[in-house]
Amino acid sequence: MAEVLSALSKKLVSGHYGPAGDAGIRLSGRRLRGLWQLAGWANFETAAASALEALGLSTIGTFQSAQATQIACAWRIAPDKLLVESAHDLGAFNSQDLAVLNLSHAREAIILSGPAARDLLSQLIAIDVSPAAFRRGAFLQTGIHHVGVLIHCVEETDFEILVPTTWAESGWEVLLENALPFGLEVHSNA
Amino acid sequence: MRRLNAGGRIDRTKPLSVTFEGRALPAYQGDTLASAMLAGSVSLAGRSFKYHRPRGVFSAGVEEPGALVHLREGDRHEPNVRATTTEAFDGLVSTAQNAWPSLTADIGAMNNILSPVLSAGFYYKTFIGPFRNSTRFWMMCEAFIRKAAGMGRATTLEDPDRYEKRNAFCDVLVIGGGAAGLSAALAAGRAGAQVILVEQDFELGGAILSDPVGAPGDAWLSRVKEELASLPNVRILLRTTAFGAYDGGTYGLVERVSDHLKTPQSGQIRQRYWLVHAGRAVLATGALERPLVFAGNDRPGVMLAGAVRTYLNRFAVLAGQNVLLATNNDTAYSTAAELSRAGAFVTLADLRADPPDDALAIAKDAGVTVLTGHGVLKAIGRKRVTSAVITPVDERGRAAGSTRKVPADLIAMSGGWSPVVHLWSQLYRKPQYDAHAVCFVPCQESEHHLQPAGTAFAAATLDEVIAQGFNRGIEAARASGSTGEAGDPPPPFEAGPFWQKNQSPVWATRKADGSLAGKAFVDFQHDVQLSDIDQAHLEGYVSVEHLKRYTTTGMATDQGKLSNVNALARMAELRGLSIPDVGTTTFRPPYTPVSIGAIVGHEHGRHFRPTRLSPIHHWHMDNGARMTEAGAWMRPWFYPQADEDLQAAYIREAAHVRQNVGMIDVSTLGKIAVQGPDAAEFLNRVYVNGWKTLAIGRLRYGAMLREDGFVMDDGATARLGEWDYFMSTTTANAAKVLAFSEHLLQTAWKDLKVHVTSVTDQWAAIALAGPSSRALLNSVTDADLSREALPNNHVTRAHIGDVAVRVHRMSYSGELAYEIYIPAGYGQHVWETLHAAGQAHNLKPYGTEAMGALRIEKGHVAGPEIEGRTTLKDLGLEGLASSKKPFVGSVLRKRPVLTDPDRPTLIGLEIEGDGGAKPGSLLFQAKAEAKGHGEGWVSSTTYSPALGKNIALAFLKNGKARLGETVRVVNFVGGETLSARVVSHHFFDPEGERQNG
Amino acid sequence: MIRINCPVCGLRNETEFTYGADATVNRPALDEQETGPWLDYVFNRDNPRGWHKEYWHHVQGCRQWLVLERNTLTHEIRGCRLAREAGE
Repeated sequence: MAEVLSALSKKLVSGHYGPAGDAGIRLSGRRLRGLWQLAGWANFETAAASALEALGLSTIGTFQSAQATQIACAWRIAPDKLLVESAHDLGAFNSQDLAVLNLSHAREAIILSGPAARDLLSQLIAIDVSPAAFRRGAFLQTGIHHVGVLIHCVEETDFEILVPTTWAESGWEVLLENALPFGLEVHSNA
Repeated sequence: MRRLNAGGRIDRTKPLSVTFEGRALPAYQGDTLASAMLAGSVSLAGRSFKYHRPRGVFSAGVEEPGALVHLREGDRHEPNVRATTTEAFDGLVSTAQNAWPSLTADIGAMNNILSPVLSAGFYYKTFIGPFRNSTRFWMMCEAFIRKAAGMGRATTLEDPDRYEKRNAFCDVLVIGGGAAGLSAALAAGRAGAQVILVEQDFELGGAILSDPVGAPGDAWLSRVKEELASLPNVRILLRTTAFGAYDGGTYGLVERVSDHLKTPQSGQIRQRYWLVHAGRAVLATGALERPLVFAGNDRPGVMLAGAVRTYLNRFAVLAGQNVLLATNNDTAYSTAAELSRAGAFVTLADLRADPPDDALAIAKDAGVTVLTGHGVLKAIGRKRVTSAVITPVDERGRAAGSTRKVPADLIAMSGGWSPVVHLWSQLYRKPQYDAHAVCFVPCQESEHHLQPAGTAFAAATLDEVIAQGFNRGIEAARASGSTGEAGDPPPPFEAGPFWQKNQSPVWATRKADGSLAGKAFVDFQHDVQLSDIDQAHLEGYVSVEHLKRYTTTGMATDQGKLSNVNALARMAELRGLSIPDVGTTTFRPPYTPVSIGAIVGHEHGRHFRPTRLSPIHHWHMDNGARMTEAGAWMRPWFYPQADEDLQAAYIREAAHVRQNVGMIDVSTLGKIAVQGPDAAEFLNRVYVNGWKTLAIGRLRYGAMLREDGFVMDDGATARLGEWDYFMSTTTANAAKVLAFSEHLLQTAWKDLKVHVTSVTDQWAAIALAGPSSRALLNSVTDADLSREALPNNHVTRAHIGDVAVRVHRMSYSGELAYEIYIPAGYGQHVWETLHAAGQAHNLKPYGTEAMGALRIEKGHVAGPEIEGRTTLKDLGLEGLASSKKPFVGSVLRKRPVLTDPDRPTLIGLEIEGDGGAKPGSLLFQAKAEAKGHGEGWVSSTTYSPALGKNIALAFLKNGKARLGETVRVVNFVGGETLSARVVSHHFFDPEGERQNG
Repeated sequence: MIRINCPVCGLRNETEFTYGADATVNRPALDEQETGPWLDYVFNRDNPRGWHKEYWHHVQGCRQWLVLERNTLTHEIRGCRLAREAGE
């Protein structure tokens, strides 16, 4: 079987970087289980109903809030677009009223965590990422170094950053540069 | 000048090693470089900008125009550093700048003698003057002027330090940590708002720090600091300057994290650039003292009176023994008394004939001699003042009586105070002139996000300062929804002089005839004399904004801090107007200089911009490819064998493709999924050709125009399903085409049910080209690739090994060719599979340079041809356009200027001789003079291995009709002329037999 | 710094957006054959001092085109809607 090569394969090398002592930042990466875009038009929610049901979701959700189930995580990225991480093949739901697009190879997840994770984010994006403003379960679509990314607050100090595959290495290096002063641990496995 | 034995806010237990010009200075923790210089009796700190006049320490803060020095050595060397704001640290090394061969014997001081020709407008006049037609002469002058003018010398070594950017959000930003700012932060903090308090100094306190140690302010300060420290919602940033105020409550700050250390500690950054988004901000920036204008007011030993007081009380430095204080208001009286008590001999010359009794009493009690109705006419002494000419003056400040010379080693002057309105002015707000306070004051607009308080708002008493700060703090907190109890403001205390009282509007001392007794400066930093203002007026300048640019007053680091009011006052005088009628200039960021490093942060070197890598990138790197940048992408340029250079490699690679088979990574092509029931209609509208008939499993080349009728992009689009299309764009235009499509679909074409999504990252793509490509691909796939099953411009799904891929049969090289689309994570695997199987077919990878050669041989257009100024007809693609349907640009492409038959059109050139042509060369008729823009230009060039000659794509006026003609190809940049024969741009296999085979 | 309240993403800095076009001009009908309306659409613009409507693209965000009401003199913004919902 051909193996999927992670865009971060050269970067996910475990080690401690920056000043010695407790690391403020931990970085690792994760291959997505599968990533799909569901897009519709005026009757989007109806058109998406059966796909949502298969994922254990009841609605298309609201902007800036992720919906997670056992088998999927869904982000409402635009009025008529849903981005879904799931191992299920959603291609079968493609229809005249619901455009399904496989993006499984188009994004990688960089996992950012640690006590200084929010400080690091505040160096990269001009958005209030204080715990009160960016809560668990919330997500942001924004730009890091002029590249569009999606940042999901998974836990209080754990964030997943979905980055375009072809920018993953460059984006990783930007994170690494900014993270060094905090002390940094890289984990090859999430 | 000397250090006093006691007093000051310095830590005498911590002596520091500090040098200036190699000389050790007596410095302690808590000193600035300037206070150490004064304590070490350094009078001469540097030379001025234009006239190279000797200059000394003039102020005790950010307004410093004189003591600008070189700080540090080697790669950390920094020019134009204000000694007055440079915190002393152990190991500080500083030198003088703008002086050659030495500070004391500076040759550039000749400019001082030449000053009549270097006066206002010198640069303008020289640029547009009698030599305006002589570029060479002016370039020679410029080289001299650049060397003579300017200030410090920057290092050319790479900056070794790290910088950082950070965004912050708060309810209330308080700018300034003096009494007003502290009160504001306290109120807002108590109310529960998220507060950021910034102070440019390394200590909080502002003017309180200039009061003697143990004065009532100290207790007040420590109580307030203690309470602020107990509020977790208040963040205090010391050594941090708010240098810019921008729209939307955004402020730029620079925090000097480790500038007070010899070098940053391991892992520590040097400076941090904060972008703060504040609900409200309080402008508690205080006030700056203004100089008086008299001859020699720039001499070393002439200082601002408030600065003299700061050096005395904060740093325990007596800046002169024999002090002449010149004033037009009451504040200098307390200073005079304090200096006298510290042991100086003090004479006070007051321009006012009738100072108030309480002021006179203060002086008298301290043994200060007061000369009322007197002014300083001239300061004497070259590298240090030695004496001054003083004179009785009339109510306009003109000499009215006999002058006399008095000895003085320090002339301290007070022309009143100016609120620091810079950030407020940066927001395009005009301060108003307050004739009573004799200064420009910001206006209070209740809804504005920046609210002035304290002396920045001309608060004259400490009660007002504290009350204003406290109230602005509460209001700002309330505006953000904070409802906590703010309590009472901290009680006022008895403070030293910080604001003018009873100020006279007279600001200059002149001779009886109204002339000056020598050079008198308004802008010390830019060497602008009072006479320059006069000259500008004589030459007809009336607008203050023009005056500023013509004389350069208030430009550069001064930003009007010291110069503004005096320059405006003179302009008003000359025009017979009041100061408010003349108005004031607009200040712009930054308030004080900011290092570029802080603004750049990490975005330099390889992080100057984002880099995109193909999913197959590391194979190229591991296999010796030479890479090239294509926009944000890295692409294989060529794969050298042995010691091949570019030329040898691409010729070999291109020839190999035509004879055998080659593979190239084309993952960088823009790829857009076009989905929805109206996808065909959408394509029909954005492409010039028709799409309604394209069957599933077919692909088609298309070109699209901009709205103005010029060609925007081209590429192939495949139909993958009933409602699914796969559009490819050029690497360079992918983002533009996507954004343009989204715009049309979300604005004018909202009725179309179509979604467009970038899938560039989803797919790796490999082009396999050459006569053996089918055989090679057959050996690794299960798909039927026969001519009948997969003709040119068809698509099929296939497997390579166990990887599901899509094979598009299409050709860019003109050979039998396939593009294979692979889910990105399998890209490298499939590349390696093909590469291994390819060894039996003599497969070689090729790079972008060979790809360029192949497409030029075929006459395919690319970026150099689709460059935004060419039409379908120019490109020979007019046959593509459908006449049966409207499409983007279909009407405007028929504008007369775009259909002019004389427009240069695409042709091929066969270049004579061994050397190729350079892109950008201009085309001329064989016998015409090579002058002007010619009849066309060369766009792309290559050596053609298939033809065995140098060829080029070019645009030539009426080109289609000129095949066979010989033209001259002139490269004006390289100074080279070649001959070339005009031919069809389809150089190779014009019938396309090879690709359809 | 212009701050734009994107209906999808919330309040963001202008650096995430690109300016697109004047939103007061309407694209002529697809089948418009006269040159004049197209010239007006592509080239002719008012340059108002004060309130103006503009298209901005949230290109580093939800990728939606927005119609902003922006004051060209003060940079104040008093309205921001999805372009697809504007004018309906």
